[in-house]
Amino acid sequence: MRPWLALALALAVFPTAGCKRSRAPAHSDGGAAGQSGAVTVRPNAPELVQCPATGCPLDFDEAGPPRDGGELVVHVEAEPAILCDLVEHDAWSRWIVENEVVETLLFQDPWTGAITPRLAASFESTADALTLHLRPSLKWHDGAPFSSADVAFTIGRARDPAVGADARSDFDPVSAVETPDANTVILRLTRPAPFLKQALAHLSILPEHLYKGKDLRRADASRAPIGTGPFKFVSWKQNDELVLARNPDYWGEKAHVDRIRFRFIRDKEVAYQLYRRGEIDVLWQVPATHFDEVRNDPALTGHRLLVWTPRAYFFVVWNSERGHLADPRVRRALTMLIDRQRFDQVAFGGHARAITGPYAPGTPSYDASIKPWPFDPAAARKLLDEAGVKTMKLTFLYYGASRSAEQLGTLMKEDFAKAGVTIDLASVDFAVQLDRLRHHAFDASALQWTLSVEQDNYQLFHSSQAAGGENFGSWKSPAADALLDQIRQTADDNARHALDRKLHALVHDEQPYTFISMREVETLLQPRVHGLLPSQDGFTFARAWLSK
Amino acid sequence: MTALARRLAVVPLVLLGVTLVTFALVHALPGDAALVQAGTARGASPESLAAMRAEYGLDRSWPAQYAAWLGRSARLDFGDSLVDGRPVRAKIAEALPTSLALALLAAALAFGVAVPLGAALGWLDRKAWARATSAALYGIYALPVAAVALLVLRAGAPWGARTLVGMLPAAGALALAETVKLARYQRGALLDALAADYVTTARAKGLGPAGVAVHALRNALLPTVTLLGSELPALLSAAVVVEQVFGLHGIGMMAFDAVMTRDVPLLLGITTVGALVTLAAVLAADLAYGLVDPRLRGRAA
Repeated sequence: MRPWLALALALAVFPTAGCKRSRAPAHSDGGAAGQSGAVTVRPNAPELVQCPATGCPLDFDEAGPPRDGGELVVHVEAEPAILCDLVEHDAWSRWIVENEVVETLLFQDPWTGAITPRLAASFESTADALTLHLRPSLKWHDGAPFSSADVAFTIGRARDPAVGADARSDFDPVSAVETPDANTVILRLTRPAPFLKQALAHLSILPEHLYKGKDLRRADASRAPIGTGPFKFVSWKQNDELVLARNPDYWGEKAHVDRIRFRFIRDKEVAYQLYRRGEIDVLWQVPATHFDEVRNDPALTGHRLLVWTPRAYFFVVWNSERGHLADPRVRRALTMLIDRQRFDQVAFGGHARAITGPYAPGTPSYDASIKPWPFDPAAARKLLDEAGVKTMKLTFLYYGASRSAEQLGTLMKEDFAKAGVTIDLASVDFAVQLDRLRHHAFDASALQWTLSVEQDNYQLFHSSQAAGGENFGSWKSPAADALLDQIRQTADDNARHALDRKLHALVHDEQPYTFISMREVETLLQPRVHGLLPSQDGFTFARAWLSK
Repeated sequence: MTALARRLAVVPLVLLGVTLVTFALVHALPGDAALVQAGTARGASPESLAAMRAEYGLDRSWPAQYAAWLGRSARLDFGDSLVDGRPVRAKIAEALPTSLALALLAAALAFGVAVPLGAALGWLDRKAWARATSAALYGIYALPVAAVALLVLRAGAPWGARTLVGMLPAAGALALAETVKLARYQRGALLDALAADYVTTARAKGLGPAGVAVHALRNALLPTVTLLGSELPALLSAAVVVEQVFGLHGIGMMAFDAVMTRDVPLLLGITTVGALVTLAAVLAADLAYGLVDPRLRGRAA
């Protein structure tokens, strides 16, 4: 019995593997601005903070004034392998290091998309250049001066194909990086670069003096990062914990807590038990088995339960190269055969939101007038008849450790059979799934993507990206190609958002993906925790403080 | 001790076989480390994949890679992990003491409890309560280790312990099923011994109950001691769940991750060390066997 259980438990900790981090473009007219979470204070139960679909501004917290001192203990589900954004694609690495230790030139509001200064105090955009003015006399945590050379070095590494950084293609329009003096950086552009400022808001600047001539994966600074942020790196024990301490010389508003201890606890149940024992201040995610218990437990009075939706969606990708799947009518029929509401109920206890296209709901790129295809087996059967499909046999490839993918597969098998579509379930490990996706050796597969405020979908849907990119389903649509090319060339926000919405409609019609849903996360905060701010991947602790 | 010498002579051959099989198996799996590292990262390019494969020699044929690995590991250099670039030797050195401590503690608990318990249950087998206890042990054996571990944690056991005392609850959870298994084994062995001709003879010669017990138990210990050699490595690898629940940083979890990420150097390092531990345990069991049974001294079991 033991090997199987071991496997099941150990595997249960990779829920978001396959997740993709990407950056976002700016749009200052952010759709979510001003919306706040609905706070319910209830006697004998935790305070419930229900965030809107478009984010959680966290303005529920009015316990101030902030108090300095103390150690904040934060639960982290998965441990990053390397603490360097350019080579570590895991979102947890960014969550720990970005914002807290290393910093970006610009800051993007994770929900409205608004771009504001950070290490760059100001910037000017022209048609063929972006000029950034760095804050004067900044210092790295080790005392070395921060300068434009560090910025040029970091951008250089990000653009190097051999590094394989997430942001690489965002810098394609850049022809040269100039540093006329220690505090000025000029990016020369060959064409419009609508996603450039957003890329800069997610590119952590690295210290050239510690990285020059070194492999990014093996450099000491990738294990003990040196940055300019409000916290300094203190120590990292693998499989155990990572400690940061307040930077007393921070250039901006200094942090309140003395230390942050990130504890790596893979098993959600274990983390929950430790939270109940008071050994953790921030429980990243309440296990689904405790949703009801947590909502109504008098022992949690004064705690806060934050219900929010990370910008990530779960979907099925269809291999558009294979047989009947090449026909959009067939893909649409298959979508209508998947009971997405029932799936949300089974897999997420109903804690999920519908999504119909590859943009973040609530942003101007997302066309809210598009409604999900209904679950309608009769209509699906009719569509299949129209397409001349009597019976069909498919294999559903999924990552065996993902319980939700398995539940989806089981559900599809049941419902598809009634419409004459046989589906075999193929459970594989993540390495195999990736390998087969990249080689298009599959019929259907389930994955999850993380969205930027405005997503550039070029890499996912452009026909050129079927070879070597992430167009795993080989969906080749000339109309989509034209839109995706145009989006990359359109600097005007409103015009580009209109194109985004067109692409959304096209994707909805053709269904290269079946969009399943966005899963809600329930985060628990001890009563003493205040001042968490949302970041791209969760929270930032730069303003956090602890009451007595 | 020519037996010992012969045993030791086999070690390199076993290591060679085990690592060769592991290497071939990992290479037969689809997907490679470069791909896992790149994940579905947007920036992953043919260049970045190639750069990583070249950096770690993944672009060569597997026999060539194995030969290179063999040459290095003969000098105790197991290379660097493909996932975080740290030396495999350092990673194992961090995790092995925890794993060994946990497994040895669990083995000590299991044998320490199981041998007297099993013997007592065998000796008192005619009593109804002893039979009922034996039957109840089956129930305990069926408890999933994950559930037991979570219950122990919930009861307040320390998480992320770094001392032997702190590890006791984890070792207990790990040892539970093992204890029951061994106790039932010991009970059966004693019952067999008590039914054997030599015990009947001893009784007929007028040996008292205490004398009979010692006489029978000595023989009944043999099969249990044999198990020591195979149970220790089993405990080492069964620890994945317990390590995770109690926040212990051992090689169980490390090996699991190494497979999932196709981290070949790390996996081979762990396999080699694991094989060494297994061989040492089997050797120790042989020696203990000799102590219990004088007939076997100096013979290769």
